[in-house]
Amino acid sequence: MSELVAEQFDDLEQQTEAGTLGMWTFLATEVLFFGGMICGYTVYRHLYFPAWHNASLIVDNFRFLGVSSGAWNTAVLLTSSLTVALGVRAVKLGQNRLLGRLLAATLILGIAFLLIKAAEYTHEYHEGVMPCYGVFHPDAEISANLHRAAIGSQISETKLLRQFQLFWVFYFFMTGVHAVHMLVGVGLFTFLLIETRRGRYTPQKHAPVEIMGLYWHFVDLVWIFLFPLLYLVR
Amino acid sequence: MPQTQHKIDGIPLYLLIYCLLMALLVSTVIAATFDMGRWNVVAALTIAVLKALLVILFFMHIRHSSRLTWIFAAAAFLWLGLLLGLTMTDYTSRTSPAPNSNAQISLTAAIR
Repeated sequence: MSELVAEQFDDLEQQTEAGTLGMWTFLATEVLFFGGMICGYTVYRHLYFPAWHNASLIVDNFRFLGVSSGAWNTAVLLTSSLTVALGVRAVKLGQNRLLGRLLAATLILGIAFLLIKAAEYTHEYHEGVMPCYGVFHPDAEISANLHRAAIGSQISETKLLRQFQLFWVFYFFMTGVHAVHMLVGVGLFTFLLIETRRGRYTPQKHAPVEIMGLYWHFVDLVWIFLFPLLYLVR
Repeated sequence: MPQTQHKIDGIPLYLLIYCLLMALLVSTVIAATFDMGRWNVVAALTIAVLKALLVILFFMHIRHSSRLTWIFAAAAFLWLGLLLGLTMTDYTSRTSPAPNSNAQISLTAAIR
């Protein structure tokens, strides 16, 4: 038992507690990291409402079975959070075979999320809304809508187009940084899966699964807010 | 030997929370199809906060965590509230609107 506890800790419980607290400290910094982007986005929506409104009408154009891909991705992530939560339960009960299966399921769901996201990005690239130099050429339908909106809101069309482009800067930064967090999560869970197969985790030594699980839930949590902010609200 | 296996929730509880989360997801997607004006934002964000609370309390086990962990988690959202709250207080109450904003355009139009 003693080799499980690092020498600075009194006992295993204190060590696990310190690990959880450390992870929450990191997550607090992450809340403010994403919070900065959400704050910028809120200010953008406040200042340039007509441009924001036009962008929000087409952001969930990419659909499966009539439901926006953002909603499918939310379902995928919520399901992955369930498999993580059940995995943490399994490791505490010493059910390592079950833990392995749940970690594999989480990985598959995480990769599914990234694939759906990649398909969305491809679709947006073809719509010409990716806000990069030389790539940003909104297609005919979007241009026609912007032209109509410019007349309606008495903003010059060039200004409205620039403001519209800014929506996509926020969109790609917020979802992109989130996707990078997903990639990190997939890496961490691949590590957990390999270590589980090697039998490294026991009911006493379950902290790594629990702490990386917290990270996964947090990435899910960010998406829970990005989904309504970017896809749902008009 | 310290007790390390305390407070393990049952599978039915996790499944119940998962069903609630999915129900909230469906309700937020349905709510977005109705035009409720500014209430669309309120509805979408209220449901998002409910989903977040379920994930934090049950999946992230905050309800079984120490008071110290509660404080750390709450501090994150307190600071987020300060960031959003103070920034928007500024932007919604400025007398001199930012360049190219709608407020400035309507102001210029009014002056003319």
